[in-house]
Amino acid sequence: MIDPYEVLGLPSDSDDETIRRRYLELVKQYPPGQQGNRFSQIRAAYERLRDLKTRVKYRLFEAGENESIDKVIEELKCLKVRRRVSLRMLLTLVRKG
Amino acid sequence: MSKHNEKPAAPSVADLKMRLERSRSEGRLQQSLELAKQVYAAEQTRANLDVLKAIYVQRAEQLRQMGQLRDAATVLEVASCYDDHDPAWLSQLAEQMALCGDSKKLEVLLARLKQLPGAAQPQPARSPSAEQGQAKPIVEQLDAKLQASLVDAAFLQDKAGRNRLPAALQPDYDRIVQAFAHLEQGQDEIVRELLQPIGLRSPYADWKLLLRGLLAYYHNDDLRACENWQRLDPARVPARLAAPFRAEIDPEYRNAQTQPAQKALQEQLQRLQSQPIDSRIAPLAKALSNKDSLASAMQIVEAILPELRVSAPQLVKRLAACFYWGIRDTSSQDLHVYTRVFGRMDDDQEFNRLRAFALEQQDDWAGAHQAWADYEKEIAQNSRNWPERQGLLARALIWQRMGDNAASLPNAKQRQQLPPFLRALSGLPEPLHPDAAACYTRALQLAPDLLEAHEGLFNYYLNDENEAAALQAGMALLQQFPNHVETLEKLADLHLKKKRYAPALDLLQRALQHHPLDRQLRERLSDCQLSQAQYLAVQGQLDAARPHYQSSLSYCEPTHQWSILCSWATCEIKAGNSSRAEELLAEVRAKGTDNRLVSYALLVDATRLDLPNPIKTRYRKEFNTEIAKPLTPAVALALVEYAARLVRLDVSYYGQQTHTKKIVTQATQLDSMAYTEDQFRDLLTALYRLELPARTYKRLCRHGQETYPANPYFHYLEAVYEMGDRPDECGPVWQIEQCLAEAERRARARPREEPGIDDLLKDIARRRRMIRSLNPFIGAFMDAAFNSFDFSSEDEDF
Repeated sequence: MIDPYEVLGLPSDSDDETIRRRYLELVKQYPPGQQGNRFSQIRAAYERLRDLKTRVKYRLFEAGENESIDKVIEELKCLKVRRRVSLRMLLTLVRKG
Repeated sequence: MSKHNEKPAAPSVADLKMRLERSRSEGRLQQSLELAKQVYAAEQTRANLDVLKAIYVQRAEQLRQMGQLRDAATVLEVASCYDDHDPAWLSQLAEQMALCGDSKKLEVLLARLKQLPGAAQPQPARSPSAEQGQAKPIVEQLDAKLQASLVDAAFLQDKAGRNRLPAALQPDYDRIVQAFAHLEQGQDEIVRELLQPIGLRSPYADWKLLLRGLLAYYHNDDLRACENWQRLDPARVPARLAAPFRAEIDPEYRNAQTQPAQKALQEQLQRLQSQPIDSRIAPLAKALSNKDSLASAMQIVEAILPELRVSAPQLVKRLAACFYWGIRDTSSQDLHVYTRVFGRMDDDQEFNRLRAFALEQQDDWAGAHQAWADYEKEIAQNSRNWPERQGLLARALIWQRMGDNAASLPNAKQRQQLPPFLRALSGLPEPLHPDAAACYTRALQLAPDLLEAHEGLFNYYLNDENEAAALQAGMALLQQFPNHVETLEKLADLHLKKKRYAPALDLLQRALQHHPLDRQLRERLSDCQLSQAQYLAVQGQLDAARPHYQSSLSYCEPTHQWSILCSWATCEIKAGNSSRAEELLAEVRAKGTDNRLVSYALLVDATRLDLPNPIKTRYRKEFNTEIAKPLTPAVALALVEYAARLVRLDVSYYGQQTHTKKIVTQATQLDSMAYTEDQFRDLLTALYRLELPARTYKRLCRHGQETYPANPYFHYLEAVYEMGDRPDECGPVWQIEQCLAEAERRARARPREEPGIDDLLKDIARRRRMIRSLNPFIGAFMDAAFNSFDFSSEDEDF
């Protein structure tokens, strides 16, 4: 299970109303008939966050459990992270060049 | 005089000039300088002076490029002694001096320049003190170009360069250095704030552009990065610093460079971006997959984490989660390392939750119980992280989980009912304290509307056969959730068991109001009405029984109405109303009901209502004749289902065993292949209630498993048969576990929307949990056994 907050694109302090509104928005965007897999993900995420009880339950017993290092690495690759270099390193390069 | 005492002849000017040309062309500028001085000393012409001055400047440039700025400044200082009335020469030297970053020597040069008549005055650049109208030292009146050169040189000399800058230029130098430090740490907002006061005409404007370009570059906003870097003065240091990055993202700029320059820029970029973070994190996947190499995985993370916090802070939490769940199965030493690397986890500061999960996984239920209790206390004391309702709910959910764990183990009463070999097992888990009832009650005190805790308490009392407490818990649940159908049904069952039909009917009718189309529920209501009717009929209250028969008929599926009509008919016979009985039986026959079913139902009800012997004898003969005839699979299944239904409704009568045995024998002697897959599954489901010999039942299960390999029910039914419904009925757990695992695998392969699959999976999970909690060794044993052997071709003796 991917982080449901991530699936819905919401911060972790969202309330019932915000979650519901976002869910309906996404369902319109990804209707079950056309985007079955995406809809299932959205639905599953909503089921976990729909009210305070399910949210607390998720936070207590599930949050992060299905996180996988492969997914983190994959995302890092997609982010095209550029290494931040120090001024000293830059100047050394110029002095050498 | 000896030859040795002779002085060598002084070289001629022509000779000196020749040597000077050679050394100059070979780049030996120090030697060239010495020779040029000798030439000028010998022949003080304007041409020789110009050559000397040019070589002084070249030598200073050479030293500057070698990074020897102080020596370069000294060379320029000496050069200023020649031709010191030429303002153009002194201006040139001032420019060169600025590039060396020596502001004091530059100031001296500028003062001399100022005193010369007709010298062009440099345009002063804006500086903070100039703007404030203060008296300005001469260096502050330098033109922008000189200031920029001074600044660039200062950066090339690090701290020493900073100290050699005029005091007025030092604050912005510090600002730029700080901005670079914050940029490296990912504090981009601070960088923006630091850069804000630097104006467009400041000598630091190019440094600001460089930094703004880098900010955009690190955020992959290449367009904006290029916009900034395109505005850089190509002769200045910032442009050289930006060059490798710009060459990477700006093809136009890259192609404008010569081939060697492109290669050099490429090499510089590779050095700057060596070992990108995603390549260094890649070995983590392998390290983390192996419990034993968790420590090495931690080392990898420790090395890259500072950079990751800057480059992708959103991923740090996710990485921490991978490790948090990874260390669940490892030593407590890893907890210390985890804390050192990631810090304490917000939601589990003392790692009590992690400990609870780990202990649960190791089947150390007492340890897990304690860890959960500690975690609950931690939450109670941490109102910042768990405010008000959230905190109460979280604590209630933990108590509920503790209740579920406690309820999954046999309590003292259930332990007494266990078979002796299990009771004597040294590893048999002790009942937990506080017990399940106390845990659920505590959960409900904290969150009275927590349905799961209500259900847990109710089910616990039901399983414990504590009828009074179960009724109370069930009613409390219904007070909070009046429409909870499952509880309405279970409470109805409880009343039915005690033959309290009126409250049972009331509860089932309430349930049906919420699910009017639920066929199963309608069937149960029909059964309940029938039971009530039959009870009244047996008691002789035949008039009171009739509306219940009628009601039972109205809820029943048309295909099952025959048994109600038969029962009603026997009631009418008892009441002496033969014509009505005949009408009812005619209705049964009109529905095309098989004679064997009719004769069986009439025999059962005639016996139960104790009709006169001739009638009973007639029905018995009819049944014996009919049952001796060959059965079709559909009739066999209907007979077995009827017999099973009698057991389910707790009906007993004289001769029941004999009749059941005849039916079962006929049904099981039929060719198994004659049944359809669904018929065969339903047959086995019904036979389960009829206490078939183990060998026969298992043989049928195996037939189902072999004939319909994708069907999960045949493995499941074998497990259920072996296991019973309570811990004390449990048979050989290794066989059961194997069957349940096979059933689960097949059920998971079926579409989830297939009716019954979800319920099947839930029940499989419940049963597996029950087995594991019963025997703490079974988990390890099963893992070891199934990893070592292939049981797919096991024989029946296993």
